Amino acid sequence: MARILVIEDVPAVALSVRIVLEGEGHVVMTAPDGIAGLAALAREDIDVVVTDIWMPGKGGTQVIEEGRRLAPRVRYLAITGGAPSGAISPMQLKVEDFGADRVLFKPFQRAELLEAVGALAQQPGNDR
Amino acid sequence: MNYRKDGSAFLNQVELAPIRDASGCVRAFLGLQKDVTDEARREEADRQRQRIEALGRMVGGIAHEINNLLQPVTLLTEEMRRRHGGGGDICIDTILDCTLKARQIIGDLLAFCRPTSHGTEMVSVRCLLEDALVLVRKAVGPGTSMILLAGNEEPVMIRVNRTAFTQILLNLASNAAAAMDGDGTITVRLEVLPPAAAGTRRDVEISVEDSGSGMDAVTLERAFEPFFTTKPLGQGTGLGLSVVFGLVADMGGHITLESTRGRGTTAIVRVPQAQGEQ
Repeated sequence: MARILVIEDVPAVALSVRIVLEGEGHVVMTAPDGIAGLAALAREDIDVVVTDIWMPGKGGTQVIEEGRRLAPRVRYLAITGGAPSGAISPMQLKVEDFGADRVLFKPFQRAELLEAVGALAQQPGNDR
Repeated sequence: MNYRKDGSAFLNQVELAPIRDASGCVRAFLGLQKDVTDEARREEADRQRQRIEALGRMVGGIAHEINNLLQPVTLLTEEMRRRHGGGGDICIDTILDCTLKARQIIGDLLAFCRPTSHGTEMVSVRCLLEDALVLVRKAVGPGTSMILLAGNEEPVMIRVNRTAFTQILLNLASNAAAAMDGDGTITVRLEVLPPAAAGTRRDVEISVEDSGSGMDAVTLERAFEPFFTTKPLGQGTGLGLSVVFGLVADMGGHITLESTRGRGTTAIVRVPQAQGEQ
């Protein structure tokens, strides 16, 4: 069981990710944007952050960058469905483009989500 | 439009200058004729590329929104299946099947917008064609034969993702075979073009020619648009050429189509020779 923070601006996506993770016994918190997500990260003891990349205001890449300074032991799973402007395709992107530990491209399946979160939760953090 | 001595047509640009006598009367004209066929083709290809790229940005934006809708549908339906004790519920299984198909279509759309350039390598274009044709021949079926015409020049290298290259050839050959109702010959030609100017790069031209039904001007104009298809309902998504357009653009090249109704179509792919190689 891991403590997971889901940062996602589309409520239905956040809800579905939360339901699937809670169904497997994880403790899940959600935040609707990057600013709220970072505030939760500073406040809570989190193992894995699942963050959308393209969000209004503070995007997922910024969240990961600032989050790594704020809580170095946390692992990051980026989730993205491409760019709203259409200028970037998910297939062009790599994990390192976001600074994340793993990336899933929407629409991912339940098994893919559980495998990624499970693997990240078991990885030792930077200060562990 | 004018015609060469061999009867072939070309686009010409004519400039006329009057020749006057001492009193200023025009006595004759001096005419300069220039063959601008290649220039006109390049302009047309540029215009089409800009239009398709704009369309690609729009499609990419729509794909992003649809992915965000498909995500909860996928996860929550899978969660429902888990709660109902696994598979076997035809309603749930059908919803999941549809979401997987939608995911595939969106994946193809995004490939059209801007495909991956990861995993590229420097490869001899001739070897690449020969390797890809093994797979393509199987895909087009036994009624369609494929001929590769390549000169005996020294190996020419291009930088390419092998999977993407095979997909380009596969999509073009499938269209060619369909245009001939699966019965005919597809000719694949490889040519290394001379540099446009001394010291500039050379382009490699790969053409895929069929003797099928061909396209009219309206179809030709829209051929690269996503979801545009002339195939019967259910037999094509209309994404094949769109994906090819994106893949070729990602290789730094461009694709054009030449077609005559009733006589066939030639797809011409031009990609740059890899820098630093022969």
